[in-house]
Amino acid sequence: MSEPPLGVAIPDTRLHPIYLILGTAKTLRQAIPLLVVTIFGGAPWWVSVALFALAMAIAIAQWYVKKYSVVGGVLLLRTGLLDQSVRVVPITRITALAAFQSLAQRLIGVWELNVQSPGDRNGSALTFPCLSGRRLDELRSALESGGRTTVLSNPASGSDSSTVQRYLAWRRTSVASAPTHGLQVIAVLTTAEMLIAAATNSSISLILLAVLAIWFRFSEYVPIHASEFMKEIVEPQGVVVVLLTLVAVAIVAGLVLGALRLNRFTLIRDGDVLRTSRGLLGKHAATISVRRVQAVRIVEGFWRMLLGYCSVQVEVAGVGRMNANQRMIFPLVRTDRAESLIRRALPEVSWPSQPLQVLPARLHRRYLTLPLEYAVGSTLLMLLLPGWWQLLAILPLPLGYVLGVARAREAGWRIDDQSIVLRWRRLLDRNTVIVRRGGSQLTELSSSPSKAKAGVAGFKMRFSSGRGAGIRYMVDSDALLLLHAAVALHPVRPQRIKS
Amino acid sequence: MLGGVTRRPQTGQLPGVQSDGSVQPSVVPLAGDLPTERHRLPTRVTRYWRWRMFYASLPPLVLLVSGAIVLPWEPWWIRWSVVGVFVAVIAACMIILPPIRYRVFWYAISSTEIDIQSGIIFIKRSLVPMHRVQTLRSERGPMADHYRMTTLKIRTAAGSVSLNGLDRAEADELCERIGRMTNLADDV
Repeated sequence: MSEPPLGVAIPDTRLHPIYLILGTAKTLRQAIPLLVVTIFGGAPWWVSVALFALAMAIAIAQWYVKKYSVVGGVLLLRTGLLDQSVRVVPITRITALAAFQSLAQRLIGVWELNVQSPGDRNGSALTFPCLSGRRLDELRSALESGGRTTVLSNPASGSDSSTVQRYLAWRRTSVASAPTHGLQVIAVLTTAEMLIAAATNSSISLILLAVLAIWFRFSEYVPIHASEFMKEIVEPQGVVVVLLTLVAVAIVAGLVLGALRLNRFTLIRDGDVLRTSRGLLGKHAATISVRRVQAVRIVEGFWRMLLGYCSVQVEVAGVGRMNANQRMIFPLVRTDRAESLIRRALPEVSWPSQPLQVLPARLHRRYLTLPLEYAVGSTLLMLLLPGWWQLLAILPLPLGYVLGVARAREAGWRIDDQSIVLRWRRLLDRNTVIVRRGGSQLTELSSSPSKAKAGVAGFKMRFSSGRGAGIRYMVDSDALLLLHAAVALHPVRPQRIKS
Repeated sequence: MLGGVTRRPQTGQLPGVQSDGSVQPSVVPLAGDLPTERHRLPTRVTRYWRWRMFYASLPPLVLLVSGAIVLPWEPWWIRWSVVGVFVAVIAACMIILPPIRYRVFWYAISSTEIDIQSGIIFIKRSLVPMHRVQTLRSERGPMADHYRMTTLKIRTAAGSVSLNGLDRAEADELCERIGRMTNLADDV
């Protein structure tokens, strides 16, 4: 059966009218310097009103001009009042879709959709800030079907439906719910797992640093009830109790933020796309084309590794370092069940059938070099600290040694006909990357005279997400083998044995 | 040769066996595995690099000399020693480094990949599959014009690799050749 032709999947469509409010707010933000001058500079009230009216007029004009369409296999976005621009993204270049709904947007019933393409690692090719649920479904359907002509449903066609029903039809979207036909729900994050994921997240450390800074340096800005509680009840108990209280505050804040972010995280395999949805107040939904997945990354953080958990991420063009949530396909899974989850979600990714090859013992001392160098530097700096704080100087060297030993022991690799697997330790977390056939963009082998003399080289692969995977020190013949294999696994390269 | 590693596969003995003895899938030699396929830069590139290093060192040298004249730190010979050490280091680098860099650098191109080795002390061999090449960019400044040199940057979705110091005609020919070879479907 032949496919329907590429026609007009979605004609020119404007964003939801609520965009007028967002547009006005955006214009007012840009006019803040002017507003400061008029309000605090003693200008008459009607000047501020006129500025506000002008901002509204600009927002209305921008909303009127801004249109999107899906025509002939491309996504078009027309914007601009005076300088008109048309942004064109071929549908074949779209690697991922991410829909987001904040609490305010949920009340109104609109979504924001980000369209990712290669080269937009830390942003997105196109952003649609205000789409109703129905329009979001329409657009996602058109993009996922490759821009084939679709029949658009008209919510107003039911003349006997009430105003409330027509309004709910406009708001309705299939994003948050899990449709039941032809889909496979791979995993759903339970409440207990969500709390573990939130508690073991690295954000708690950052929140703790912020809390410590706020209390010890900016305590005059702390709300009065909290300040009184700390000063009258906690501080008299001593510094240790104060620190424990602040740690507890950081943990609670981290748990709350984690719950808001990860609530009911669901991973679904829908044909040739992976869908994820999550969020408590603000809803997030992402779609990733399986064909665009270049590698799967298993990240075992320090605390999660101790508890036997890991998170699973994918390397996709256009989803780079800053888009940590978008490249995550499941935030927490038992490490011994990660293989099962990946096999169900991405059977196209070949799981290694044999254990990883570890590095020979003679390479282990190489891994001590860098951590011990940093440790020596940190020790010297800490010796400059005042009083008892100098005792901290005893920590860096043993920690550096432990890190070096861990890095050496945990590094490993394996290649087969379909994939390359690399495992290494960064600082606190361990990464295992399974690279699909032809998944890497750039492959590097590094050496130096001292390395060459010792028969050692480094190997690194880079993906179109901008991230990489590699082993710093390995046997040079093995690194050369990986270099050949990484290119040999590309689909366009012939596989043959030279005799 | 990569930093002195000589364990290169012979014809019929591809790097298919791991150090643990297990057999790996068959692989085809890369473009740069055969020394006859490697291209070197023109010999005048060392003069170009030396002059570039000289002109690049002028602003910090001016800063250091100004500091030595203006700053009131005693004794004076420390201030001028810093200037002297800087000049000595730059002079040594200008003499020693360009020939090493010239000897290390090569590139090789096949229908399926671009193979580049570069570096001075820390040597890197980069492989770019031809169908991963996104854009090509050639750059040259006034000094490069004088020496008829060009820097060619090959960009992929993951980053770029540079061929610094190519002959201008060679760079144009390379651009045209790579442009022809990359006319393949990209599955980024």
